Amino acid sequence: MVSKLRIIIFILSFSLSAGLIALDDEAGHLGSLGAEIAVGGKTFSVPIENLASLQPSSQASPFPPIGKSEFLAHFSAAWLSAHVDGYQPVLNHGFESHMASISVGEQVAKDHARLHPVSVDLWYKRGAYANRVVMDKKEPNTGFYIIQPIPYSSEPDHDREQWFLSETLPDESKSYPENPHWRPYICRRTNGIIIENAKVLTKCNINGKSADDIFFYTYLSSENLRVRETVLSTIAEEIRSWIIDEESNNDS
Amino acid sequence: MEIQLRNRIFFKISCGFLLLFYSLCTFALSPPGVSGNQATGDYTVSYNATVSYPTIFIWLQEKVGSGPWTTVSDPVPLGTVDFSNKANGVYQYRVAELADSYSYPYFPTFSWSTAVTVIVDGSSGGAGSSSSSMDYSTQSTYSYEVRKGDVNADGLQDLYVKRSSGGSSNNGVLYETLLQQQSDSTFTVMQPDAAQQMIGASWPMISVDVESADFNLDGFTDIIINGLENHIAGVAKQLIFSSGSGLLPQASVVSSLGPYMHKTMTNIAGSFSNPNYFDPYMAQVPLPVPVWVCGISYNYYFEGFSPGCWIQIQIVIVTVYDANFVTQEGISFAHGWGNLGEVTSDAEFRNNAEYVYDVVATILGINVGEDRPDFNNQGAVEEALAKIWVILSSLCGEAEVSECLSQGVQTVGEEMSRSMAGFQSCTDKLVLGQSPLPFTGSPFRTPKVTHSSSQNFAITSSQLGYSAGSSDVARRNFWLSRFNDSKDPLAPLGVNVVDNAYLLGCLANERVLFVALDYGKTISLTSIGVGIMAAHADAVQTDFEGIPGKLTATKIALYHFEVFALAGLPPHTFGGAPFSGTTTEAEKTKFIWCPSCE
Repeated sequence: MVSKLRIIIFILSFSLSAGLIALDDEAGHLGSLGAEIAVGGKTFSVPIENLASLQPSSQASPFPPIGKSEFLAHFSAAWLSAHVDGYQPVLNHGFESHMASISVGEQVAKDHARLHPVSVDLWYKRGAYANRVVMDKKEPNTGFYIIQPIPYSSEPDHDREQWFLSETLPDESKSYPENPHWRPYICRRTNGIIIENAKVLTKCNINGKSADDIFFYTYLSSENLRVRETVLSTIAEEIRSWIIDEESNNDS
Repeated sequence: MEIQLRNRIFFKISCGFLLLFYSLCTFALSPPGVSGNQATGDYTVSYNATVSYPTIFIWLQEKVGSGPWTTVSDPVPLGTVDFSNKANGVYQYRVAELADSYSYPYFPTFSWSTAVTVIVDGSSGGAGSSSSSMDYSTQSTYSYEVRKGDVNADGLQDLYVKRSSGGSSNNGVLYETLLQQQSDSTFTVMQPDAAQQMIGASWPMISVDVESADFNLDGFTDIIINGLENHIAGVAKQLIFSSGSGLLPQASVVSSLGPYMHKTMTNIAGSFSNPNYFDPYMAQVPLPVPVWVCGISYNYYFEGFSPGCWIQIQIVIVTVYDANFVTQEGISFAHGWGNLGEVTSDAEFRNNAEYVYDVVATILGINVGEDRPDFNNQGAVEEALAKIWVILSSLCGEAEVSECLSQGVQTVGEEMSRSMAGFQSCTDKLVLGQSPLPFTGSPFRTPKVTHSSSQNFAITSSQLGYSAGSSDVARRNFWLSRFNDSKDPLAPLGVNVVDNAYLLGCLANERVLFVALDYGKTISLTSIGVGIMAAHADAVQTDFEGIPGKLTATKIALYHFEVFALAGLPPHTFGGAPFSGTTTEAEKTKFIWCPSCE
């Protein structure tokens, strides 16, 4: 009933409005330098080059995608190359850039403070990961232990397996490390079947934090895992620089 | 007193019966089948007439041209009706059903199947020829000639449009029409006499681009004339609707795709991509409003206080919008659609849907769909909304709204035609039926997935195994398990996409193929689907927020964007955000594709 009333008021008010107001040409949230995004109680001034425009083929969206508590930002490979020593741009379809999903707010902070059920189950070798297999030698290129959530299958159809990477081995006989939480990276092979002749790539989900209530995740190819900490801190700092709310800036 | 009370109770029950008689349709009825020589009017319509509880009665209905639905007399054996020597025209048949209700107060429900169309045109065509000649892809090959002249000597150029090839003249698709230009550069459909038609046919032909697509999704292609501005100053492209009646070869309606349509579609696309879209165009304005006020006032004449009522001017603050940028229908649609995602009951949903339907009908100047849906019937309402969604996302591109234009190789008209053809192809699949699935609900909307408060949405080991696969079998197993074992809200749609089933499953695939073609990409639906499956499995495992593993529409949209980008496809490939390819749009449309998402 309320919603109908609202509609009626809008229609009534609209009919009174013709020509009453003169405004500038474009919607004010998108300026020439970027967009202001209000999300999770904070306002971010996102530069135009970081507005989500999935490279290489998407159309540029005139407005950034906005969720209730999250938004999407784009970091080009060129930008990361300039800011992160050792970063290797992987020139393959869809991998020229990084999309970061950014979550903001008090509730988000509470949610992230909880134990991550997947990590806990993986540590204790239970649930979906009851048959996990741990490679007890570190992978030399990245310095990670590899944890297979399910035993490897030689079936021909079974070629897009997922695995976890961790700097420390899980041990179900010990308590789950909570300070900090033990959180392995989740990786999966993209074996080039989406695009013919595309390179076989590995992408890993990595998580970062810009402030107590600003979290983000993005994907890195396996080639760049060794510079992940610099990538995360660089992106975190960049996101922090977008906050235009004074109080929030002071807090952080 | 007692009689009055009884009458009141009876009245209430009667009203309740009337309201609930046409209540929620929960049984999918199979449409009738047609065999024989449809073109010559000698054919047989058969349908499943088996009555088993809760069905009370089943019967066949016929509609001639644009007339009303009438009951067809069906002598024993029930379920087969022979027709012979039917007059030329367009006939439609559907199966109607009266069924008992499971819920108090147990009033029966009335529902009907989708309709099948039979064209009788007197040709020798042979069995089924009419049906194939009315195939959507065949209709799309019809070509038209356009001529201009002044039929009523008012100084304004009018248009004469005639089909120059394809199909019979009385098959319901636009054949010949005269459009009279108005002083505001729009057109109206004339009912010309023979002499006026002859005059129109003698005018000089003009070189314009004519695209066809079924804009009101009634099964009969409509046309858009592009490039009129090169021949008649100030005239925008025109959208001309077929009548759908063999008895009416003229157009039924003509709509101008001019500034109003552009502005309205810009508003709609903008409201999908930005929740604050209208804010810059909005202002609060004080408005003096006279109101009656009653109370006690001092009466100077009688020198005392006395009761009375008088008019008082009160200032009311109203919200107004800049009409240079906002149309009434644009803002009405945005608010109506927004409310659809906030309703708490099916009845409220249907009320809001009717409002949205009327707004869209106003935008197009027509009734969307074959008939005005029964807005007490949840299934019919959801079908209408699905149609509206497709029509508007296509029309947005046709109105040349920048947000809705892709950067692909196809022209705007080609994009729109393919999009519409995809919808038509998918609705055809509904008629053909499909294998039963473990979930029930409207074929036009993803069903809600209920779960207990202790439901665990985490990935299971079986699902991990399936997600490592790269076949359709693995995909189907994954989504089925996500539904059965994890009550994943997206799972029903996941299964439907693998099966290419129901409207949304089919549309998702059509959309990927259509955008891939537009962008010159060679893709396979299986490969894309495997990518989506793996991304969903990853997203479930890396979900920290809300109920872990129960994804939001935003998160689902995000990984779709990423997978599509990997294949070189733009974000609006995702069927949950066809307008703008944004997560905001995905949130606003989730009531259709993922109503139980977080």
